[in-house]
Amino acid sequence: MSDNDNKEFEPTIIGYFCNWCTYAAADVAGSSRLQYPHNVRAIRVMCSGSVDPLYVLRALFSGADGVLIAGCRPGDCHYISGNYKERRRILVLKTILETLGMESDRVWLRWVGASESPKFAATMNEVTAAIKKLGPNPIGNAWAI
Amino acid sequence: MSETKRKKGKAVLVVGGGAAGIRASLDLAEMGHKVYLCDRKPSLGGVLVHTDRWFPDNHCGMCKMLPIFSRDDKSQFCLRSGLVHPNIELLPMTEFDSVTGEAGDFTVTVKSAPAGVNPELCVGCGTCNSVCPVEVPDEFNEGLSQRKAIYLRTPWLPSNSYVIDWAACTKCGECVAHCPTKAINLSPQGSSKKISVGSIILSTGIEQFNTEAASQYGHGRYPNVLTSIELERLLSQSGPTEGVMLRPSDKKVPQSVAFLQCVGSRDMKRNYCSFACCMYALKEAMLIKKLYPQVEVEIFYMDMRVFGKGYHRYYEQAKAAGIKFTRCRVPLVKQDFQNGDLIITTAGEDNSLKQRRFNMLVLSVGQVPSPLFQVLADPGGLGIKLNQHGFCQTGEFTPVETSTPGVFVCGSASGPKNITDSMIGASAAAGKASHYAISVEWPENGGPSNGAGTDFEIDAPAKTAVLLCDCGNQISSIIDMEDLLDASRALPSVVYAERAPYLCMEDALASIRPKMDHHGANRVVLASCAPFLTRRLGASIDLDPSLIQVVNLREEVAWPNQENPVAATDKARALISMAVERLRLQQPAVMLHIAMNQSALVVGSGLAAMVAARTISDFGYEVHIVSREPELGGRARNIRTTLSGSDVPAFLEDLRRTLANNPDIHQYKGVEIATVEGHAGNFHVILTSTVADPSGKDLATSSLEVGSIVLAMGADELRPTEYLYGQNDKVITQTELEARLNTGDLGDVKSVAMVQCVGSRDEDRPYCGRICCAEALLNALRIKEANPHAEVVIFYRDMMSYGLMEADYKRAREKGVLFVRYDPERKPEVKAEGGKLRVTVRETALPRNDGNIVMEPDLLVLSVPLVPRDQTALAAILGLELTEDGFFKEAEVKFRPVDCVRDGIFICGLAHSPRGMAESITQAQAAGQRAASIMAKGRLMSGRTVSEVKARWCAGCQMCVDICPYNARVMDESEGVVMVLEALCQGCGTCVVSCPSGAAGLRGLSDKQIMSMVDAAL
Ligand code: FES
Repeated sequence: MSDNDNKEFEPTIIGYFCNWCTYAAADVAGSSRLQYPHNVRAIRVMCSGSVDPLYVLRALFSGADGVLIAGCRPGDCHYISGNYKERRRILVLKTILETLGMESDRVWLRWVGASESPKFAATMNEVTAAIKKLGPNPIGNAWAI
Repeated sequence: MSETKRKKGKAVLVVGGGAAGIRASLDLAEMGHKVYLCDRKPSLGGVLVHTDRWFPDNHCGMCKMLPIFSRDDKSQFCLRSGLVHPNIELLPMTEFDSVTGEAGDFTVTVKSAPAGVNPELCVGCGTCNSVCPVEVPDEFNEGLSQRKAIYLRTPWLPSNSYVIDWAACTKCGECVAHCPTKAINLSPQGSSKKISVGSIILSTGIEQFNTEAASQYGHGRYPNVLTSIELERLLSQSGPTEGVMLRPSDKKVPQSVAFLQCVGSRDMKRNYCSFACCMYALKEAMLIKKLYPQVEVEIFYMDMRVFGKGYHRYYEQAKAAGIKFTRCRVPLVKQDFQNGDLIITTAGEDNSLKQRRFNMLVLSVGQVPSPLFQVLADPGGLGIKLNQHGFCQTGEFTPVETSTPGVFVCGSASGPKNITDSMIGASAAAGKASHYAISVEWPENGGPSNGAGTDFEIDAPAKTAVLLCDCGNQISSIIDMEDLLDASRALPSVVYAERAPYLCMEDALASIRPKMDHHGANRVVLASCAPFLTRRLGASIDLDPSLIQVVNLREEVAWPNQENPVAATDKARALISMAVERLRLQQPAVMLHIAMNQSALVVGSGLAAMVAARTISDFGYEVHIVSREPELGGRARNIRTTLSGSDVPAFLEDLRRTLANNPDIHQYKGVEIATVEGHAGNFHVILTSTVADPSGKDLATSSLEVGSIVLAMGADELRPTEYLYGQNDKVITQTELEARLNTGDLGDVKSVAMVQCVGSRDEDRPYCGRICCAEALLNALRIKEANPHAEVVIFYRDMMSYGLMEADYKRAREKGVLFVRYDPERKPEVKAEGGKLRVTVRETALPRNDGNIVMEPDLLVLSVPLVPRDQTALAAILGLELTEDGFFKEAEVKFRPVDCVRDGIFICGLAHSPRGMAESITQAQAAGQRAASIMAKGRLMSGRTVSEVKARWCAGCQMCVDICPYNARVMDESEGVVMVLEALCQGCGTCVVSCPSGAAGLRGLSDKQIMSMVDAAL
């Protein structure tokens, strides 16, 4: 990446968005012309519960500066409890990351309902700002050696 | 009527696209019928789209009513964004006009409002909206915000193009001049068309009570008096305040909020209860408490009608959450003009009058019948009969039938309802309407609208076309399209890339496939917009959906990055290369199916079981009724009549005869279910006899193969342990009283006391018996009828005379039945003294000297709830869960009330929850319809995105079997590996994550695809 030193660091964040809620919110956010940072590259998955922690690790190891998993609000999951399962997995994943001395706060989990487009935009802002603060993901480079 | 004699039309018309209309349409469509769904409004969803979250858990779950008709990600999305089903034709902004013909052969004229914006041409860019000079209150936000005269009905763009509000439009022509696709016409003609249908379902819903008729509450005059729907908007993220509860006058968070119940219901003019308001007030109060714990919330009510499944528990939670409840009908609201606070007069603790001040007031407004009924009731038209309140008249035993054959009703059209009951009625009505329409051919590939099956060699290397849409300049003014074209062309599997000004226009769509063929492309990425995905894609491209990827350039990239074209182009590039990667590794979509057993099992012997069995056999399927009891009829055998005066024995007898005379209905009495194996379509059931074989051998067993199962087991009346029951023969239950009334040996009773909620709504059984208040009213009225001078006093906590039953409550009062409320903390005291009963009740309503009422009744009647039989064993056999109260759990409380989480099993009647007779019948019809529906296709189809097992890697650990919410994974014992029942798999992918050895995968979105998308993104 050819980051200009005097230019602000622009992270690349991988987003795993559930089809039913978060993705719908993203659409509405867009059509309401809410402006939010461009840094999240979304992969639409059917349910947040289908996001394997491996996908998160893969993204981090491949150099993504952050990963955001977003799904339906607790209880709203179209597949009953996928989001609850994901919550547990991500909690475990974060502890593992910490144990390994990796930055667990590059991994984000958020619930955004279909009618919560403002929250969607706010989440994009929040996550991007937080990852910016963390700076570039060091693993990406380490891996490249 | 026999199937053969009945006339059948080509389709079914559903009038009204609220939740009930959607449900009925989906049920019919899934049974293979063509459905026209019309609604006056430009968007579907009725009152539901104004609300985000529902009782009991403050969730949205609308999408859960969607069937999994084509489980791939291109036909599945949030229901707020629109409804797509190959068998449903939507007619928005269209009204029922007139009808000729008869059941099985109606010709209906529907009138469409002049469409100023041609939906075929509108691309949803919003230019018109930005240039429109007119501003009017926005009805989506209940007038709490402004909108233009050309506008979107809801924020979910994909569902709708822009519409014009003719009342507000000044015809200035700005929008016409600016519309890039010439979609607007300011002097369009309305149109009408004739459609021929076999049956009609009225799901016209209700109107919200107009608060002008209750001006004493100041709504409309005092800014801080809101209706409950307005509050919903305030609490919604898609509302005017983005979900921050700001009171309208000063845009501050109110510190105290009061709810006034029964506004526009239970009064002299509207002698009915609006059914849903108590629960939605509770829900809104809970939402406020959750968002703003410091805010004081108080509900002023007459009776808390918490009669449904789980409602009482919710009420208790609300109390525990600190919400205050005051029993008082507030007569008048005044405003403090200094600060906008509201002042109400209420009864205080000691029953003295007190002035109270609140920052904000919410009116729980009732439901009133739709004015459309007057049109529908016109004898020249449908001629349906209305009841005294102006709702559609239905019968106790025919709860979804109108007085006109072939015309059915559901939702609040036949009386106020909540979502759950509307859903139940909708399925029941769909079942009935289905008999008057032919099934359309069910497409071989499972029925998605998109194109034919795959006609490419899927194993052939991917050759992808990338088509970029400029969307006029909506996308191209921000994203550098030429750069994107070059980048796309450089991607490995891309064979050609092209730009189009509008990809969604008819001719552009039509040219996609020929051009692909020309270039030898076998997959396509469409980089366009969100509506494209949800609205246009469907019928237009003759290509298997798994070979298409839509990138949402407009809503996801261009619009949110209007100030940042460079970044937007970067992002667009990444998203396109991700989509190309995903397609490159796309596996073939194999649609598998399971053959169905065309027969059903009904468990139970009561009314619900009998009705369910008849409903299923009406569709021509074989039914096995299995019950422990030696005889059919259940509790209904003891019932002579109901509040509406229906003849229950005659109905029951007729039902019994129909079942007995039908050779396709088999009855197994005195048997139990021993095991149930298999899955929807193929259940293998083993029955054991509950009575030992006289020859002393083992219990006889037999087995059945069925496609679906309906649970309709009954419940028993509680044997009370309080109030001297069993010790004094003057103390009896309502059922015992009813038996005496039926046989006429009540004796010479001059005074009767009834106590409600005996053994219910307490710590042991925190649920409402739902039917005990109706029973008490009925028996009280019957006593009064037999002996008008008899004194009847009903001691109650909350009279649960919900819905239209309110009129019976009033009738009882008029007949002289006395109603005295008691406090659950101070239950009535009953003593037997010298052959007499003495009942002492602390009076709460009026101040009195000693505050006690003492009565010496000849008879004390206890209203006890029904308690479910212990179903733990059966639940375990079926792999289902019970609620805390011992009833079976439904798949989703509101939107799938008769389905179980395990596909192919349905519940109704007392197995689900206590319900009145008409309600049980409706639910049994609904369950019967759902059970028959899955058999209608003859096979269960799988979706396109389903999970799979790489048998070589599977260690047989069965983690995935446990985690699958749909029982779609089973252990293949002979091979020692897990296998997938594709037809049950919904493609959620959670099994893939659970698999420790990487054997589980999702066809359609594999690990590999995700990983390479990640790489492409970076
Ligand atoms: S479907 Fe949205 S989280 Fe499961």
